[in-house]
Amino acid sequence: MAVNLSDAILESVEKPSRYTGNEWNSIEKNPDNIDIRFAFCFPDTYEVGMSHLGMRILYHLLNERPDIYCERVFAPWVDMEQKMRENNIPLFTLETKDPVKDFDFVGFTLQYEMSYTNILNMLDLAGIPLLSSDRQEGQPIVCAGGPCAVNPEPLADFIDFFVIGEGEEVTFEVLDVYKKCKREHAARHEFLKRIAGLEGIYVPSLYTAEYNEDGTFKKLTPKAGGVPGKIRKRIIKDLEKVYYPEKIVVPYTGIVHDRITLELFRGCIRGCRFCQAGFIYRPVREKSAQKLLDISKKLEESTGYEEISLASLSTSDYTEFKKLSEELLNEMESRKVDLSLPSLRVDSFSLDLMEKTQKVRKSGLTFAPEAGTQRLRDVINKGVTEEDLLNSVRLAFAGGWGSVKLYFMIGLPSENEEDIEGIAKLGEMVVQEYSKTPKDVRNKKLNVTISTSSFVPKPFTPFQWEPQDSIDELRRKQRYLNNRIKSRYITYNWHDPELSFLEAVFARGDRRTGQVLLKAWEKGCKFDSWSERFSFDKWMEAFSECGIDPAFYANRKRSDDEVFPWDHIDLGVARRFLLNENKKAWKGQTTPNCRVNCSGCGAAVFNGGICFE
Amino acid sequence: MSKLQIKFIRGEEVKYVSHLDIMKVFERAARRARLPLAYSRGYNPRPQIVFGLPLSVGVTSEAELAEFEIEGEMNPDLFCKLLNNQLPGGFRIVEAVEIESKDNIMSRIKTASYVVLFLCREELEEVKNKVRSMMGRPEIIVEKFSKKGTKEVDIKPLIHKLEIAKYQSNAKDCSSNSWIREYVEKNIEGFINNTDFRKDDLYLMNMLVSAGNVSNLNPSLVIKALSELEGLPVLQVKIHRTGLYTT
Repeated sequence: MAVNLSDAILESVEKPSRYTGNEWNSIEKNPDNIDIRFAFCFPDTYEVGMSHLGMRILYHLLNERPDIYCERVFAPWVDMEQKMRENNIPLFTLETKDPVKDFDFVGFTLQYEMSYTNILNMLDLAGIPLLSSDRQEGQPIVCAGGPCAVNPEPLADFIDFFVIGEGEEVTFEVLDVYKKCKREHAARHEFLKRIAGLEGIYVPSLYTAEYNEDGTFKKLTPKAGGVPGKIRKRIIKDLEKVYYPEKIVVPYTGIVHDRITLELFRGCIRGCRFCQAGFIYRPVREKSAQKLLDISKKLEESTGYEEISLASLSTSDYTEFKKLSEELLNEMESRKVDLSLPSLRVDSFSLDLMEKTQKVRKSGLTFAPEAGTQRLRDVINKGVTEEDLLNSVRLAFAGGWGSVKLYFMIGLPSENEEDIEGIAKLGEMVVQEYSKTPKDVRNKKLNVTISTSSFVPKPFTPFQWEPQDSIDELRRKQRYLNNRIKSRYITYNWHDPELSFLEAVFARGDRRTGQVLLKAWEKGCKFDSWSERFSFDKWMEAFSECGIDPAFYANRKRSDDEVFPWDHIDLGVARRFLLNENKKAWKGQTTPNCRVNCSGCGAAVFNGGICFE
Repeated sequence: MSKLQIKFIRGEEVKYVSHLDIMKVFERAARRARLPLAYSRGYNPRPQIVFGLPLSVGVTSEAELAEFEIEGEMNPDLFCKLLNNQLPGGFRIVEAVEIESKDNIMSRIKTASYVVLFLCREELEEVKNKVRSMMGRPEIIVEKFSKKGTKEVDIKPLIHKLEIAKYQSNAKDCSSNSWIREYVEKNIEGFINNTDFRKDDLYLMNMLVSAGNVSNLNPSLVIKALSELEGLPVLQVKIHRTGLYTT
């Protein structure tokens, strides 16, 4: 039975169309003719969640099957949550407005650590026990996947099973086992035990975690035979053949990315040592330009969208980029569809392309040198030189661009004052390039923005052993940089390090940190990635009440042979490769990208992609 | 180049879609339908679609107006059919005509009719007396909230016609609007659940008021005036627009 969502409630909340569904291309099915009902939950607002490509893919993929009905759920904003709690309205889906607690599956996508409290809040709003050990027969199976699932341990107590890697194939395998179990009236734990044998599935309740006396992680042991000790991620070997929706939901209300998104490839050849995405999605697999053109035409026809964007980790590395962008531009111009480009490596071709797509308004160009000196850029294996950057901005200024954004990270391993000073110097050099550009070609206004984020060491990167700088140290570095920036053309933006600190804790957290999530949620923490909702003090209280020292997770240097809570997850990329990369980083040695030379990271175990080209 | 005027409904399913978002809905639907829309010139060409009068969030309508400029000529019925095929449930075009007017529809609209459903525990005679008393005032001053702040306005000259009746599910007079009937049948139990009202307390108010960019009256201000100036305790349930007029 659908929940009673009265007009009085909807009229009293901000943006009610977040909760009413009925969008173009949303899927309608009669639940009576369905074997499996799947509630796909994004633990953030509608506008954020609807922009997410993975959800778009899986929603339409699951609904391809007539026996499955996948419906969408987003975190209600605080005003709506209050109304729901006052009126005893449980969390519901957008499609049928049925309570999520009546579904077979509740699946969360884990895109960022600071969405974890929203997961707990959504389970609570749904009336589903937060701890998987408290869930009974007949209650939904709660699962999760996405990039943060590579270290699932902080959520191990709340999630019945995790999907590690890409979900397109394994999700159906799980659902088929479920159907069989349902027919056989098999118990919940029996179902979980059976899927634990599928590659890419991790059922945390089937393992025991042990710790050493010094608090470090000791080992994770399967509780029963037949439960795998290592869980290897799933990948789609051939991206050319994988399902991609030809219809996507067109929201009424403006969402963050309100356009068609084309996925050019998965993975990244670069291997920047701080970047988790650069390692966890390996190996690189591309779609052909022809396939992408076909998809884009179909999507344009089925949605009526007026804009199309290219999404991938480092779009300039797409081997058919020239062909794709030119043909896409051609095709879409006649359909009056704009092409929106991600940040590209700047050269004469890409500038020309940007000129064509942006027409009159030359909005800002974005560069990400990430570090201020060549020494530190070598440490992080960011293959960009000062000369590259200056050549690019020279071209851009000569082409009439006047606004340049430079992204850096502070707190990177081995960073010293010279490196921070280097950020200011690079900014200064960019300003000088502008001065050198002839007045008759350059833009009348110059605007250089330097932004720094705080480095967060992540699992499955060469820096997974490294400590994060303390909050005080990060603040000191921000002040230092701010004092070094003199030019009036440069604006400096920085991130609050508190959020990065918590990210560092949960990115490398173990099962024990789950208690802190629970405690923080009890104290009212939710929507932590929304600065107006973030309460650092409550988080610190939660840590202290749980007797857990966050610095142990965020700010501690790990020894080479320390066992990590995520060591049972196998992403192909080998731990010894990452350690070797770490050693090379400290020596300032770079590693060539996958296209130049194979470094033998281990991703070749998947028998696909760039490793075999 | 020609101009088509459409009349469309905005149903319960889409009554929370904002005015700005409705424009996007029609633009994208027209693109999907491959209608030969005329675009503005310049660097950022926009389809030439104009909507009659914004409708507040939460209000349904059986008579919204919009104008489309199209390249060349097109049979209005075909236009209507193709666009309807591409509109999300809740939006439906009921009529399309070719028009000649140079002024756009927004500037031509002068009045709008609404039916407002509300709850009140007083007897019909008493309610009617209060309405008469209100309309007998030399001026009807209410506070109006907007983004710019609060101001006092006299809404009397903006009210052209006001009728009141008890809601009756089977009546043939002004209380017979099928939209209202359907709404009451489906939603009223849920609505009165947390109030002291009963289904018998339902009233309907039909009104014709000024509309458009010169002077415009939101019907809920009439309800507000009735309750604040005449001391009639009422709870507004629903507003539904029944017509837009150029006279």
